[in-house]
Amino acid sequence: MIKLENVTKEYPGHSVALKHADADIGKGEFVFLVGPSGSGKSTFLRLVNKQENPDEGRIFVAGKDIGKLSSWKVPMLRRNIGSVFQDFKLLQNKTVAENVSFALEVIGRPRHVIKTQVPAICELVGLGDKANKYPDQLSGGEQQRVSIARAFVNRPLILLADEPTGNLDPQTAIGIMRLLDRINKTGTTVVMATHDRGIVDTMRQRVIELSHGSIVRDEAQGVYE
Amino acid sequence: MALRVDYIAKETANNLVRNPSLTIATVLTVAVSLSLLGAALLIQRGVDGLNERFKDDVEFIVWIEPEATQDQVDLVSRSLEESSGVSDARFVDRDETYAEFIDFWEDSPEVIDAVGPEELPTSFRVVPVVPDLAVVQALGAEFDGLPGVLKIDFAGEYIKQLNEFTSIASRIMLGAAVASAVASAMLMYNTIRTALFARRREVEVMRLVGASNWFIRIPFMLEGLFQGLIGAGLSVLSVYALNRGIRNLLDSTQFRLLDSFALESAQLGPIAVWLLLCGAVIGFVGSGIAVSRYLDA
Repeated sequence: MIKLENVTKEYPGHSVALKHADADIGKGEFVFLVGPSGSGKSTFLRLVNKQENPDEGRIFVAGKDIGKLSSWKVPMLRRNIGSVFQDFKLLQNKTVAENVSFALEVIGRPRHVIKTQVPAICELVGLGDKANKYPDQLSGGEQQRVSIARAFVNRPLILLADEPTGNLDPQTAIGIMRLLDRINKTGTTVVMATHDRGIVDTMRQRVIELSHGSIVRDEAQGVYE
Repeated sequence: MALRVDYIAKETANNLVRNPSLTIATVLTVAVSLSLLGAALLIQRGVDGLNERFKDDVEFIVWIEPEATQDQVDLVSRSLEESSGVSDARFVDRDETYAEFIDFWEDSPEVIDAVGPEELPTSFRVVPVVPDLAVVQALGAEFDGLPGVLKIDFAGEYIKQLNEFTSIASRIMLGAAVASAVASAMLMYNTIRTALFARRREVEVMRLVGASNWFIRIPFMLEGLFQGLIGAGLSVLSVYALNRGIRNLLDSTQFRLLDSFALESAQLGPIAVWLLLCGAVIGFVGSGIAVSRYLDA
């Protein structure tokens, strides 16, 4: 589903963010990207949905070389990739339901689809009764659920999560991980960058470890170390 | 992909009222710059009309000294007839001159009383073969030195001066219009950039969930377009007002020579279309540069 071939990305003036990285993530896998801050985890994720372009190497998503994608097709790629962030990126002036339906509106989904999908996804993430609340009326964990609902409402093939539990207490984080696990069980490939040792060790999923931009470990059912 | 018209209309309207002071500043700048352009076009039309009216009439008048002898008059008459540049020369005698004089000073009997027919000069009204001012002036100069000739008057001289003055005025206005059009496009660019900044979180989310580039851009570009068109609309109103002012001025002075400077409403149509077009271009260029610089990455 996601394949990196000898990918290098350098930010001018900084050290190399990713160097000669190779990775092959299959459909339906759940993968943790681990490593300290600045090790290249976020760059890895940003390259997959083409927020960044590699300096070298090739990246394939669903079998297609995304380096060859013309710029007007990039939105189509992103419709197949949901994104979740540490800071949620919710729109404060919109309710839970509006935040979620915004994601469908702006890609031109018809109104009747929005009307049925949005309540269903709110229910799925456990916010059925809070659909009309605004983000500042919700706890951090609930806000992250909204952001996951928004990322998943279009049923993407891939879900990228960049430190989704970074701002949450351990108990809340477990709830978020259960939700991501459920989403993964529907067949969606999940790639999650984290440095939360407890979560990685509990989930026992594939772990790709990055250090100074290099992949130093890639093991199935790994732990954080 | 079907663009959602209601969504785009709503977003555009929101953008326009989100930052009223900046929107008003932009609209007014566009209006001022296009009003200058409109005034310049108006003057240009007036000059064109003036030239059209006098194109066929460029003539000069050879005034004969009141004391000139008949021989001298005959000599002038003969040289006019023999000149290859003259197509027609008509002698205006003392009676006819006096009749014109009375006609001209109709409202001032005291002037008429003060001047008798014998004090007026006779003249030849000359129509040249080539109605070009330079040629006519050269031709007129040929007769200037003949005995008994008082002076040569060029009807075209006055027109030419007026022409020069108005064309300089319209060029200055055109220059000012271009400069302020550039300024308003730059202001437009900044207004749209500010709108993009105000909505950066929405834009970020739209990009992440895969909204197409045009879907993101269109509300911002429409915002620019509307501001440009509203400004242009105001400038059309001011050009109409200016034209009406000129018309009233001309009517009150009865200065028929400048009639062509007040256009009929129907003639203002093309100018209005031009102004609206320029407003649209300013809006599209300003907002287009802003969105392509700050949205494409």
